[in-house]
Amino acid sequence: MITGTPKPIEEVLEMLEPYDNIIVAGCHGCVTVCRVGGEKEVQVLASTIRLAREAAGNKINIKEVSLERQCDPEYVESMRPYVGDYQAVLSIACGAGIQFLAEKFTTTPLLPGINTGFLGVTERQGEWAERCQGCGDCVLHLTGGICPVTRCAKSLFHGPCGGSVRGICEVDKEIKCGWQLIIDRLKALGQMENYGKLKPYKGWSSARDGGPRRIIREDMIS
Amino acid sequence: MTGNLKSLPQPGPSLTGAVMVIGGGISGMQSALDLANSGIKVYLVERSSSIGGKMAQLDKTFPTNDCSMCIVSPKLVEVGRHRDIELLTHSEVKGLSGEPGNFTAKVVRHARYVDVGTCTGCGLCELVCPVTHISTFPPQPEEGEKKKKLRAKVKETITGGGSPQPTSLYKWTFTVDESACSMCGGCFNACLQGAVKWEKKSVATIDQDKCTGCGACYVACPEKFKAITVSYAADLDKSIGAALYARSELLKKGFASKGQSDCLRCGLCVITCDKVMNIGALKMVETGIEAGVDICQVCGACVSMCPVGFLAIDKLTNKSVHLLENDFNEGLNGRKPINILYPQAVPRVPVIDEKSCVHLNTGACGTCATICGVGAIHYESREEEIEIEVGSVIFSPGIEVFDARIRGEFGYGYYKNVVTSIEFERLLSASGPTSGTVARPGDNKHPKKIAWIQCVGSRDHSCDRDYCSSVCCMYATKEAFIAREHDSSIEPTIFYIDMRSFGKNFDDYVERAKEHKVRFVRAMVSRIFEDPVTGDLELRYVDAAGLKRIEQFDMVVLSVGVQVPQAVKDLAGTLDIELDKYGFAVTDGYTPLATSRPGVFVSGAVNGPKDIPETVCEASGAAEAASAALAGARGNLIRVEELPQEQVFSDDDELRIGVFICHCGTNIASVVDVEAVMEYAKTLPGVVYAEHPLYTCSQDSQERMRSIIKEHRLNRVVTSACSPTTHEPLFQSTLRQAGLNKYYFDMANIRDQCSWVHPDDPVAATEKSKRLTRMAVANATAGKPLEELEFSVDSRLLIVGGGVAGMTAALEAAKQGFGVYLVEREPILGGHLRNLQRGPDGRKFTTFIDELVEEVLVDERIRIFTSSEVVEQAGFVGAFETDIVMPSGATRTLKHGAILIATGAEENRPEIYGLGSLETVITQTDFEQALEGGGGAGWENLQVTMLQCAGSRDKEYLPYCSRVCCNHAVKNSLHLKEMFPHARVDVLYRDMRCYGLGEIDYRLARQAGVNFIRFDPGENPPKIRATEEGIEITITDPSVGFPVELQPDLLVLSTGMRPRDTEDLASMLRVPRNDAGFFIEAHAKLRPVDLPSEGLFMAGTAHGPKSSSEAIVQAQAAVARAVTLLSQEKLQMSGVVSTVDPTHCAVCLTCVRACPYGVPFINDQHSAEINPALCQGCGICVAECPAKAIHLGRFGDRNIRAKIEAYSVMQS
Repeated sequence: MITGTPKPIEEVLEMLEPYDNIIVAGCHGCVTVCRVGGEKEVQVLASTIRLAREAAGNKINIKEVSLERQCDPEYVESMRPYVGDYQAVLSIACGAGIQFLAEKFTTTPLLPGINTGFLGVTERQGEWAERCQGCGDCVLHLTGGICPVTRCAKSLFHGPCGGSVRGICEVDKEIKCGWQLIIDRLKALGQMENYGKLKPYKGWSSARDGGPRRIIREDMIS
Repeated sequence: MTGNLKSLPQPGPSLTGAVMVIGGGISGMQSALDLANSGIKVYLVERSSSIGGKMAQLDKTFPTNDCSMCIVSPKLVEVGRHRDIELLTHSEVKGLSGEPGNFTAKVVRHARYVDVGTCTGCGLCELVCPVTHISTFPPQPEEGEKKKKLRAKVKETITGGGSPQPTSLYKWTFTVDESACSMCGGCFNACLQGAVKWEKKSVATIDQDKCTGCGACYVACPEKFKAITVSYAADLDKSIGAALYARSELLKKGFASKGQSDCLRCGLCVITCDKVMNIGALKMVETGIEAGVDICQVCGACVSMCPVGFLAIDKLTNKSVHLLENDFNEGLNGRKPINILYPQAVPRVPVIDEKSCVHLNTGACGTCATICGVGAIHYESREEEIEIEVGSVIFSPGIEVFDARIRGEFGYGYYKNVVTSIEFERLLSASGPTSGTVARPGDNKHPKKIAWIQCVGSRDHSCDRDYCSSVCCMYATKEAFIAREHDSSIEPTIFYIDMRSFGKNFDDYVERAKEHKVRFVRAMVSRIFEDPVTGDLELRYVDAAGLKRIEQFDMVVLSVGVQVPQAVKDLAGTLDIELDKYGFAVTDGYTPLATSRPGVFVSGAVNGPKDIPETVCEASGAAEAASAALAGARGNLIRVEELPQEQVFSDDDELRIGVFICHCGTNIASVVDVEAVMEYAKTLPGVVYAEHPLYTCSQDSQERMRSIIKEHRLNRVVTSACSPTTHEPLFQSTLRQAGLNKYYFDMANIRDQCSWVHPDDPVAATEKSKRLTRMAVANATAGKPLEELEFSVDSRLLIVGGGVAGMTAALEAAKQGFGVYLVEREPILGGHLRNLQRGPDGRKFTTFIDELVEEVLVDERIRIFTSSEVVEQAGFVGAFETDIVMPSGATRTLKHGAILIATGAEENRPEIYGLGSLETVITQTDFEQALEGGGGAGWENLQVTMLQCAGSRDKEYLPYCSRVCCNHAVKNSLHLKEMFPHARVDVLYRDMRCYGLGEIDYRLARQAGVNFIRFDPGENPPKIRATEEGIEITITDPSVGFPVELQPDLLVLSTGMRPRDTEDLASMLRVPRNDAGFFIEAHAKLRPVDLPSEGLFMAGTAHGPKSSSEAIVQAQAAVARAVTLLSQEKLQMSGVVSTVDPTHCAVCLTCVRACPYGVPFINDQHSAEINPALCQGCGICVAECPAKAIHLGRFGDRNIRAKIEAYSVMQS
């Protein structure tokens, strides 16, 4: 899932300074699940803004909406009938959703209410960790199910660097060395031979290095 | 294996399905409730006029500082309301004949003179009754003899600082009845105002312009003529007494702020004495009031009538004056002869005291009967004797406190500022004589330095109280703690011998008290001297360093012990049950609740001193023991409640809300203007009725509420009273009985949230009460009826753990008629007790255990699974499903209705002082085993040192006290000295915690020559060096003040006990354990064997360290609690449960993760789902759900919004 964290309210309030009639838009997708952009957060954020603005003697009118997903045009279109009645939309979906709204509603300023994080997993309630960078060329079958691109701070492809000390990455003592994890796992699985099967180099063109990406599934396009 | 109740063998005709419970304290109440809730009819006999007992008198309770009354009051109400509990208050058992199963009890119902059925508990009779003292009644005429008017020979005139200031405020009109006047001139002579005109041989007349209405003429007119008539007097239609009270009240209000202290010459005292009391000892004279001190009966009526406090009773009489003491307040203030024991009394009906009531003794007065609006007072009532058929009897009459006057050196009874601990409880209590202000009885000053003296009438051979009272260390700590909460400038000091905080979490409580500046001094106070001028007290004691100390205190509290009252000893004689020399019931360690008479069981402090949770445990246990033999007659004598059909309302129906604003006695009404709140409530939308009852929760108020609902066709009810946590269920059941869905109700807490927290600002507190009431009305308006799910109950019980607690529980549950699954992890049954040797009575544990195992094995209702473990648990109360893995590896699913955890504990064996590696260092259990084997070579002169608290009360090992080790050390010491008189034992201890009757053995051990040397792990730790070569111990003996060296042959460690590993089980059952690993009870005081989740119970050492007898009691208690569920055919779940709207659910798992009970799951429809039968209604998932897809019964946005909007409307 795509994760994120709420923007500091001061920052949000500053963004909203010029407006007194806005929409706060949530999303029922990933951000609901990671508790930054669901229906409840829409209500909580809208209430907070109202209270702050009222306290500052500068009342604001807010419409609260929550789309099924902000990354699908059909759902986004459901906002069209009324979006023009408002000065701006504060979206608390991920960056993709916010941009999609901006793209569809060209005359309305779109403001981000959250900082989008990463593709990750829930390690436990309230704690998420990055697991995938979407490099477009998966090698997890060779690395014991642990991604060297994501888990190694340098995205190295041939084993740990000199900064790996007792399994801990030099970048932060809270980060485990991704390569130590891979090697330990391969040993445990008895698959150390996979270590040698890694490609001599990684083609990064399918990753972000190749510019903004697009997936076209001919089989699905009618 | 038996299934549901219906398939049980049908009852034989000979058993009586009823139990008589003697004593209505917390013990009797708990027994009664457990019995009645499991289908047994109860007769609860209580000597005093109300149930409640000692617990009702306490202010707070340790170790949670809960208000005692607040937690006991729901129980009082539940007992009072229970249709299968017949309350026989003001009654005594006078005989018991017959056999177990078929007793006939003779009960004397003393004349109460007030009809319990008609009395509403309004308390008006108590207000109008003018009598405050124990009278010395004049001799009554013999039959046929004419009553003579008393004539005073000795007269005293009471004068004030100034001369009388006659008032004519609210004056009555006196006129002369010309036809009756005999022209004697008595009135003329009596009138001090010159208002009576009279000449010889002519009728007297009264000049109304001059008359001040003092009534001197009225009193002076001879009885045979009655020529003066009274008119324009409020309440005169009721009686002259009522009229006098009415005017007195008006004058009191009128003069309240005027600082008047001179006589008003209102005449109320004189008229009262003459016309109400038929004494005529008083007369108005120029300078004041003339009193015939020789004929005054010292009833106090004149004083209570006087509006300005001009009269003082000791000036009016030459007899000795005895205030009629309020027993509930321990005599710290007075009461009336007609008296409701305490505000929350059940039944809240007064009783008339035959000794002090004027009417019952002389035929005069009778005012109360004239004022009673419902005619509930019957002076002609006579004591009656009834016979009651019961199957068993529970003897739980309770205890009284030691008479502190016996310890004369403390001056109790003549030093006014020396009080007993129970008196101090009343001083702390908000409903006590000082309304919770800590004040010295001597001069009402606020004391700063208060001393508590422990062991007054406990641990004292000199006054025949050899036992420890078990509760005083804790209650003194609590009182000191709470006193500081009332007034933080108080400096409390507790003088003690040993700090016996042996119960669960008690040591933590003592530590907290120390942090709150409660000072503990280990010293016995030898004497107290009073400064006669200041009333301050000088205490003399020898401190820890052996120095004589003198310290001044403002007040002293004597921590009096408990004792069995003489009346209880007499009653035990009547019942033919054996008591020990102190009056405690004689029981067997293995059947700790059975008295010497079969069919009669015992519970509470009369079975040895104990605190509330242990009493509650015993009460449930006794209920179990008493009903086991009557299982066949279960349900025979109970009444089935017929509830009316629930009314259905549509949204279009007119709102008809009833609002009840509670006084809570003075709890609320002394701060909040309840009448104003009520008037305000009447203006709220939808409100069609409002009133302000004195106690909304009292039985009569609840009955009234029920009739009001019907009469006014109410469809919503709101109470503004106390805490919904304690009282909402009560009000809701009243709604249900009136045919309303119980969720058409809301409650505002204007006590805790208004009167208690804003006592200094009545205006704002009243305003806040209005707002809270308005919010509650809005919420009730938004209320929707909720359905309560009903499901059938599997009557089998799963017991986890086959030690003494588990096996006892299994046998008892089987006797009660229920099937049992007994799961034990080990291959054999018996648990930790197999490692121990003998109980306190000297019998071998193994014999007992073997007998138990045998009984369990042959009972076909018990299925045993040894070497088996619980691996999976599902379901809910009444319908659990538990998977166990059996030795074969196979899994089996057991279905049952309740779970009892009896996983036990084991001996702690820390690796300290060479335990485990040196043969000369062993534990008490090892030592006991060696003694059992006859000792070893050379033991004739064995030198043993026992180290108490070895790895106990020690943060590094076991932080808690294991409760049993002190008694264990004493037992082993005595055993050794008995076997080898020349052996030497030194016991190194911190506090000898030989609580209760264990103290007697402790004394015997000292007499037998066992040395007890105290150490302090911080200041005076023993230095112990244990090696292969030998053991060397150095310790400073505080009794001699210098170091002692010991070189024992054996070092015996009292290591305490630790719970078995139950981590997996606890997480599977989702029940909480404390840091030490013992299970946490649902309520430390009143639900000691219940686990927080419904249908789960515990017993034995899984709850905390305890003796085998205590474990047996808990096992019986837990079965009693389980039977209240298992005996039901069906159970009803709360309507307040969470529901998921699947169209909104984001399947984010938040609820699944957040629920503390593990209820939500993701179903195959890709939505979270919550089983309403499992849901506890806590609302956590509702708050957490990011999609707002979960709603909780009556706590929806709709409700909260209604409340908030109601509040904001007020603001704008």
